Amino acid sequence: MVQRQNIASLEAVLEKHGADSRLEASMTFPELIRALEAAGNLQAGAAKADDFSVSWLDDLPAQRELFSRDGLGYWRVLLIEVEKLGVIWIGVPEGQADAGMSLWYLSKEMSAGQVATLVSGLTKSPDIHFMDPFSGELVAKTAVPIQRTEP
Amino acid sequence: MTQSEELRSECFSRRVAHNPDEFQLVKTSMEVWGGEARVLAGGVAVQAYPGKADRQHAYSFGTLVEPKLKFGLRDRHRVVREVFWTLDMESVEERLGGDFAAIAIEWFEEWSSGKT
Repeated sequence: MVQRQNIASLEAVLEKHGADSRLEASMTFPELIRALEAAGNLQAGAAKADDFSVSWLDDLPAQRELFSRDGLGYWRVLLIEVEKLGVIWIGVPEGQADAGMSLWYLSKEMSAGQVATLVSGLTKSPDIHFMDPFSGELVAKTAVPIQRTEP
Repeated sequence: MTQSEELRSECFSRRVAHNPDEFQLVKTSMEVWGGEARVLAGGVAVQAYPGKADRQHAYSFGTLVEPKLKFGLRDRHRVVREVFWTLDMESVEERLGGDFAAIAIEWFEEWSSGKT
């Protein structure tokens, strides 16, 4: 049995970090992990790849951590820190491998369209659909101000 | 819900995480409570999944209180991912001075495997 006495509330973690906005994506969590691995973007503190870096915040214990949501059970959450831009949390209810991912981000750091562009870029998956969860409308990708590094 | 029995009560489900007493509390009070969900649902809210959750540590209930919907994607199609009820909605009541939102429910079913 997995010991689950000390699982943090996802709500509390998002609020602590100022994540105030949500987006839905058509890619599933297992597809995300495979795509990040294939793109070389999954290791903590990975070297820059295509202008992105992925790492994990120090105060979150591990990648793909479990969090709880009131009434919605346990969620598996991956944190992506995009250098010089911001942080994206990607989550899915535990045991729902076929569900599209939910994403949370800080509206002061990024727009929904920019999050869509970043996730597509990180996973090298240009055909992911993104949706506003409240309106149910698809979200179009918008350009991200990339900080290019010296070659 | 004697007067409204002709109205079909929609089925929703919640998964119990931290509070194993939730089954009994809900069955006894015939209310579902939800707390702070500012980031995820815009305030104090009762959160649930649409339909039944056929898995461990979950229960399903019916309510005539119309929820707000959150959409997601499955197989590239739009689906209702979650539902929630906030304090500004009719028939959603405050509990503990506004720390919790509550809706009246009818009890349907429980999945609590692993119970000792």
